[in-house]
Amino acid sequence: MTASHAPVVQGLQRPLTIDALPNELLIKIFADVGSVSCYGNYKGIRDTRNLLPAMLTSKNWLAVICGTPALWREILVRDSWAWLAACVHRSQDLLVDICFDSSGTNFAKAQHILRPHKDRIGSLMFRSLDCAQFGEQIALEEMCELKSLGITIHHGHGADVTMHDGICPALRALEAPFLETLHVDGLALYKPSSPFSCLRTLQIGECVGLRKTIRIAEFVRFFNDCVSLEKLDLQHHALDAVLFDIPQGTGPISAFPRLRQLAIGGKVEEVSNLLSHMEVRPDVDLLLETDDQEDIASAAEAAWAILPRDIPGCKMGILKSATRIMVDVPPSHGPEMLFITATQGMNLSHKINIVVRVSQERSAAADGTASQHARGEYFVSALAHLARMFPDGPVETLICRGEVSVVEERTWQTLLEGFPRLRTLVIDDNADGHPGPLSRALTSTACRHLEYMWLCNMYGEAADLEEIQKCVAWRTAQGAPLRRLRLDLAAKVVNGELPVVSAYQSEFARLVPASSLILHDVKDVGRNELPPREGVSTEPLHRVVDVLGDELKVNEYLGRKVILPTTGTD
Amino acid sequence: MGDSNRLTLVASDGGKFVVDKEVVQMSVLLKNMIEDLGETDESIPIPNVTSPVLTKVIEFCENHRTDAARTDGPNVDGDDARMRTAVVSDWDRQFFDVDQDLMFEIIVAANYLDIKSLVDVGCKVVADMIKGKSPQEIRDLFDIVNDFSPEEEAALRKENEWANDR
Repeated sequence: MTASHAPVVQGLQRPLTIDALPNELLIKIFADVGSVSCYGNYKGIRDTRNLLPAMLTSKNWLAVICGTPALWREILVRDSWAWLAACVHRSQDLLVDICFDSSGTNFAKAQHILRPHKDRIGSLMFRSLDCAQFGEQIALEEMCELKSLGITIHHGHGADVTMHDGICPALRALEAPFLETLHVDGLALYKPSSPFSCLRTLQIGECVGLRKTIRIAEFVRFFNDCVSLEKLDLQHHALDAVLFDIPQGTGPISAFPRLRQLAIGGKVEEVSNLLSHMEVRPDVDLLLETDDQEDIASAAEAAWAILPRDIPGCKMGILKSATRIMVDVPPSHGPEMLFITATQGMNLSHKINIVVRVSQERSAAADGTASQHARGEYFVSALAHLARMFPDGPVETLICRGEVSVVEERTWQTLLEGFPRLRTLVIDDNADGHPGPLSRALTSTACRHLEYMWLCNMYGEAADLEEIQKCVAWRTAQGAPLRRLRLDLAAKVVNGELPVVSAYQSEFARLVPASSLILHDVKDVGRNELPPREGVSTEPLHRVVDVLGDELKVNEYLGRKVILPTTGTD
Repeated sequence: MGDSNRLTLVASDGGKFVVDKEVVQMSVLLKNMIEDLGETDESIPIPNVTSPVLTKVIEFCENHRTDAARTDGPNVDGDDARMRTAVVSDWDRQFFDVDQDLMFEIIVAANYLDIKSLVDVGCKVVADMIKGKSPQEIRDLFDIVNDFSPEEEAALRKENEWANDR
């Protein structure tokens, strides 16, 4: 050791027991003893009751734990008011985070106990308050340091709202000038006495009232006061308390200068009206979800009906700037029947995601809202309206999955004419479709810029391959040739014969610089042990969905470069 | 002149350890010392840490040398980070599967050397040992003397029994 290397800390003792640890380490250990709970969207909070056995271990530990206010600043309250009082006392003058975890919490008593400490409450949440203790409104004390507030009211009476005279109880007179996060569920939100100029996250859950208690113009103006809002989540039935008493596109407009995420769920016409009063920049991550559609006709129209009626005149930037669109009608019986996702290039945080939900009542019946017939209707309707939903947009990539068998040539034509700048087209069939109608639609001047096409899971009979070959040859002759072609088709024996795959492969290779044609034993692989057939692949067909895995994540769908070629500008 | 990317640490019992500077720099104390010293062949004494403890500390640092890069992302803050770090990895748990003496020596050495991640993991492991145990079980586990009189203990229990009132 040299003089310049003098030890920095002198006198460190070798500890043999936990009691030899310095207090700073003991405090850190005790802080970890309070385990973290996670309550969905709520902030996790430590359960300091876990400290009680440690407190009773020795006088030293008792002194350390009780003498460290930071160990008591997160307070989880079940049913004991004395516990709340003790924790608040032990936290001394620190800001505290309090979570009332019991449905039996008496709201008025909680406020009474907290009143002397109201200026040092940083976070307050009531996880499940019984609605029986409220009339038409809920008033909170002024809390000048409050940054996070969550209130969930449990309505045990279900749809019977006579208890509140048909009005969803409303949060009134909230004075919290530094509030950053607000989550209300089971109650409506009225305009506070002072604007929430610091609010960054607002989530409004279900309202339960039958009567409308806030006009759309007031609702919109309330948002305009939330100048810092970054995340807005209006969940299903959140708009039930809003009276839409002015026509779409008239009256005030909400501008959200800092908004990054917007999610709105609810009745189609109400969401549409609200959106007509909003200015949503193209770089906002936008999710729109319909309420449960009761019949096939309304579900088929819901995807575009949820948008403002005057789409060209509305202020939803993504509708006019999206370059990639995916339409997906998954072959499932879940409540979510149709997804339309559009992004600006590969940027998944700049997107709109529209989800159409259907009622589960009789959904699986032959004529139900999740039947194959219904899914066909949804797919056709989406394709027919897509260009209206994204007018004049610079769309270059289109991915569609659904019931190709019910889409007529005219529908394909309408779709393709609506996107004249299209360069990439991916069509993934759910079952039993043929590429003929699409091929014929592409044998036209529509989509002159189309360069890449991937057709997946449709039948690949000889007649189908002939249609595709004609289409490709026609486009080449017209000076609009494809540069890449991928055909993953289902093998089907017609008149005892399969198409001669090699002959078509040669022809496609002559017409398209990069081409691939594979016929798959789609319905038999791994099931019926069919003997190998010449020209037919026994490898599983890599559908668009397969590439993405069984758990289709729509939000990620467009971002998977693996399924989409680079088209030069995307 | 030796390898400029490595240096020698000398434990309190004279044991010498040649280690990568990158690994050692997980210690804020040693990082600052290296910066102060500049290029040098001189070894650095760690007078308060024995060879067995220093061996374990170096083992931890070598295993976690890339952690800083992994956790420096923009989203590592607030609740996400808190939830993630609330769980001790299997490797870390195995690392601390040692005698209590050594475990506490590692924690104290990490605190002295200012290796935050090692202190964090060590404290979490000890906290996990405490969770769910009664006061007597905790005393038995850590060989802690109960210095409460029966009356004091009874009074404390009564004072805090309302924590679980229903």
